[in-house]
Amino acid sequence: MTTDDGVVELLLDRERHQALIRIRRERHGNRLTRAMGRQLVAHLDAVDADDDIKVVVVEGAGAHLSSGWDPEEAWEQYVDAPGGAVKKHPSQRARLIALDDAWWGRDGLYHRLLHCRKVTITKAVGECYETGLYLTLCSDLVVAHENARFAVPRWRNVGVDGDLSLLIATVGLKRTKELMYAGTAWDARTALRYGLVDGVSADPDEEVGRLAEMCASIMRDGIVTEKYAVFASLAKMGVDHSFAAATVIGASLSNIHFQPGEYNFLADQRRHGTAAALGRSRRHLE
Amino acid sequence: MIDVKVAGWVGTVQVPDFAGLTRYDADFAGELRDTVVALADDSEVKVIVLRADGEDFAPDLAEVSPPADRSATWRRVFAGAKGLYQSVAFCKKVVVTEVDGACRGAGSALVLCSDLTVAAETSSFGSPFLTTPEANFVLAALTMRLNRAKAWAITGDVLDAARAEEVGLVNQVVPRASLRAEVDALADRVTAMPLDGVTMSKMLLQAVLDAHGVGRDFDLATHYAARRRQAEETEGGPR
Amino acid sequence: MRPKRWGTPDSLAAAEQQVLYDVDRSGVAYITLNRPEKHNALSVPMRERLTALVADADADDDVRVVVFRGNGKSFCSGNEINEEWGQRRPHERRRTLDVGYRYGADMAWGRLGFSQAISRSDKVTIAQLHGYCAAAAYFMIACKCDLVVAAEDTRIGALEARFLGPAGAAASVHINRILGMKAARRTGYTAKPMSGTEAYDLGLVYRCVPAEELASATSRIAHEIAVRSAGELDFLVARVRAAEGLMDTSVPAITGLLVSHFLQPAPEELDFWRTARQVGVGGALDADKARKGAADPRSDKETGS
Repeated sequence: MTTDDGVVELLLDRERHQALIRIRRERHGNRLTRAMGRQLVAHLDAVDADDDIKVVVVEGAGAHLSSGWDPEEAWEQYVDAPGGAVKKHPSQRARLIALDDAWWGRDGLYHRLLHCRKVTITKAVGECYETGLYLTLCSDLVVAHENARFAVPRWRNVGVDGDLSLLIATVGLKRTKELMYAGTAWDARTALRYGLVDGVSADPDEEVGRLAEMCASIMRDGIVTEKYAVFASLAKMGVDHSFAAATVIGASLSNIHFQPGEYNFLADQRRHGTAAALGRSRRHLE
Repeated sequence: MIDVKVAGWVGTVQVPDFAGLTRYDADFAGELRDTVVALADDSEVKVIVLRADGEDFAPDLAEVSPPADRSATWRRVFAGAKGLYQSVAFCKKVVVTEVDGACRGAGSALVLCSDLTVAAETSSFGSPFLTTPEANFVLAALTMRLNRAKAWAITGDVLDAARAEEVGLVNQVVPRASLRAEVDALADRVTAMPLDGVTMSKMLLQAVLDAHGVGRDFDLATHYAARRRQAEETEGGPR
Repeated sequence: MRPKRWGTPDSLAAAEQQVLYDVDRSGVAYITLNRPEKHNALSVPMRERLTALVADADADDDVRVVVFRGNGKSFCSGNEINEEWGQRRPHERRRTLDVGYRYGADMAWGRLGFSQAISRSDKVTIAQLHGYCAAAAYFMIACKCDLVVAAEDTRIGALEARFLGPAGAAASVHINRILGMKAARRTGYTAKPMSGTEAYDLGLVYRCVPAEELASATSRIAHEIAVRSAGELDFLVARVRAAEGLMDTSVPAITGLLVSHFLQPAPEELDFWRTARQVGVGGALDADKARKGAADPRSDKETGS
């Protein structure tokens, strides 16, 4: 059962041709639920449909951009998908559909953000884990606060189940593997050096504002025609294949068998609650 | 020749150095390949460490003859789909290279194929493309960015450890005295990932590398080798 | 029948002097842009001459390295913007799609275009950059060369994106692989130029030097390469070209450059083409500066972290 509802807000400033999408679930580090993901997608639809909006900024309210997705939904999403509740365990088709619908498929959050027709700018503050990292990867521009940290901690627990092509295209192959395997989080300066973010600032609002203004001054036709070329080039760069692979591998990994001594997050969560399990599973990042 | 230890999910492969690859020592390469494959198939192994206990990971060799591209041994042991480099590049477990001293020729080809590299401050990296036509340029481009890889290949520049880290060829540079300990610590961190997760991550990576043309570059090795041999034969003369 | 030669009588006649070619005794060929009064802006005849000269260099066994450089204050500001050479026939309201695609593809970024001639050259290519390296000069010359040597204060990038939109600069797979994805989006969507130093940090530039050392540094690098064995260089260039082919770094053929003449400015957006026809490109850039948020690519102010 999901705990407190988070929301995702949309604010429009047609005069400045900018929109703001703000993730609000501060008590839980802005961890996204499926409902919030769908809200975010709906806001992107609205932004795309509004001719007076040229730039959309994505941010998290409070201290973090997003520290991941809601682990309480990790299993639920499979059960709720078609074919998910036919037998005792969710079927493979339910797992594929759930991941495709929520994240990697045509209407999934990451695919949708990556294919936004307007310029996207993410303000990366505090924990940018999992969902936070992928919002960063799927945006055009990123400004990080000095305190930002980037990682995908759950990969250490369940294996790698996210798109790799954007990571490789952004930070290179070996850096990508560092994120996959080394159990580290990158601080803002490291992220800048590796090419994951465009700038680091103690006052990212100011820098985001400046970038938004620059991009908003470019003509609408210019922005959107380039976006369609970008979508084609993403396909050439293997992103479509990689997104599809993420769905398949993610679903496969939901069948994981833990060897003796290997940490089982879901079991920990069932036994000791989400907060304790999250704390334990992310201790290595400190 | 090759020393192997398995403990705590880590298979450590130790050799004096890897220059035998540059020299096209088929026995050495074959044994190394077999070792890597055996460790990948071992359900007690998640990480494979490749380590040279000599001064140099792969010292420079004065004279290197390009491989005979028609040689069945070269194809089977070095360049083919079941050869050493592809066994490392498409390994089902995580491969870590530990580099100190000079890494030249095929040593750099091996570094490119490995997943993670930790290097000593005293290490340096030469381009593999002249000595080792089966070295994978697409991996270099995806690792270092395209133009840096091109410059490295064409100029043959030697990258010092700091520069190698800057361009992303090396993940971490450490003082020589702590190299081994740092590699062991990294390998240990990697073992936190469940076994199923490690292997599936390689399945995910395979899909992505396929899309990027890594396999296709390996597949053209015989053409590259033939061209390399031809270049040797026409050296200094008109085309 | 021979292919049509595009250009006005003047631009056709001038091309030979506007793109110079010579080969020194060490096998270094210099292709020098020589239209300093226009920051070496490229006309179609100049681009065709570039293609022909690259072919000459490729066919010349004595040539080992080809250096691209520019006389005057800048390397090159890109393709000439207001070029009129009969692209539009009297009964046509504007340049047709037919001409537009052939102009773009064959004379610029397509397989038959001059950028592909450079990127597919059999020789080692070096771009020597100073001043402005903008638009087509960035996209289709600098990014296509094997090595780039730049003065620290060079201004490199898709400066035309200010008024055209990125027109391929963000989408180009090639640029993504050279700079990394974030830098490619950033340079395309903000139209902010990179300095030589930034371009070195990102991976486009091989060597970055103070402006006064540019020529000697490039010469040194070119000659170090030129003295190596022909067979070795031949192999390495072929090796790299093959891999690039495998990676498919070709620009998606559907970049927005084609539609740039159809871009419709909204009421509050600058009609760049109309303004440029009235007051020239410089005047249009000045007019553009007056708008909110516009960053003049000619400004020296450093922005960002």
